[in-house]
Amino acid sequence: MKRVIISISILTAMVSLGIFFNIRISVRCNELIELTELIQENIENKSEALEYAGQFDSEWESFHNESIFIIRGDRLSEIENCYIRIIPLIETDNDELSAELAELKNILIHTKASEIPNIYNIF
Amino acid sequence: MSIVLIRAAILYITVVFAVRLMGKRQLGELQPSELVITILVSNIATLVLEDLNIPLAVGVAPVLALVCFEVIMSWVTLKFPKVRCIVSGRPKIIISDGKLDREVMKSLRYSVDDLMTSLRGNDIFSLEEVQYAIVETTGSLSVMKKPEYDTPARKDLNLNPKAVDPPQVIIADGKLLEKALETMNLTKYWLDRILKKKQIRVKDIFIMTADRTGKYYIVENNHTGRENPR
Repeated sequence: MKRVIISISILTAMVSLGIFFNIRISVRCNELIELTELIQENIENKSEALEYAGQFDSEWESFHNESIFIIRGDRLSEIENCYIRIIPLIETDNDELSAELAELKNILIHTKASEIPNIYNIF
Repeated sequence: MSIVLIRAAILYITVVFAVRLMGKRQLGELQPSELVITILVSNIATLVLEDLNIPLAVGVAPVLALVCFEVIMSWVTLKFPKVRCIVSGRPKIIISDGKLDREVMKSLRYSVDDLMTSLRGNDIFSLEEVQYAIVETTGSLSVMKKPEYDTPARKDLNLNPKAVDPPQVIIADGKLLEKALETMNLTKYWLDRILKKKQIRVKDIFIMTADRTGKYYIVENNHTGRENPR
């Protein structure tokens, strides 16, 4: 009976942690996606775009530290490789900026979706 | 390299904890679901060790989850025999009253070779010796021999031996196990008397076993065995 109680406690703890992290990652991803969209909207306004990119940078730092326990390392590297180009692209008024932002947004949406259980990612 | 070592240590502790949580069974006695879980746990642990991109928590969680499900399921099967039949199946009688049931063999997909191998594993080399045989849910074969081929018990020879519990280890690696001494209804005074007689100390003993009658056996650190003379 002791084993059963321990098992139920472990399962309950894991389910609770799972739900907590799912919600947390979903919220943080939404914040990052919002910042990406703000950068996209302000592509023409360099200073605004840089400001939002700076905010993205600090948000990303805390998101990375939190999500490293749950999200695969290569997925986080993918996001990082993408966003690290944003600031130089803004500063040099590079034409690739829109494409890069679209890619970053897509990866973030995909990351968020893959952490929330649904029929498509279970099967 | 050091990351792999740390992860390996954490996973080792997790897997040992998980196996302990599942309880005591030998490999040959595992139910089908337990065997599957054991194999799965080892495979999942390997994945996490090999791929450093997988977070440790994501590797540990399925191991713990599978083991917890197994423990809960084993409790459910204990409470509800019907569930046990669904999950583990029922033992099947393959030989009854000395007669082989071919229909049961067919349903189990048990070939003649499988049957003879299992019988030989039970030290039986001829089918005519078998009175009763049952294939357990673990896949092993339990056999009862015909009386004429069975080893006689002391009762059959009208011998009345005294029932004695087997000896227990009371000193291991130079340390006294007081609980074991208590279990055997032996006292420290008795032990001290023996050790004084043998001119030996507890720390010089590798193993000492004793039973309730006071019969003991000592293996010293220098590998000498000493028995009490009877």
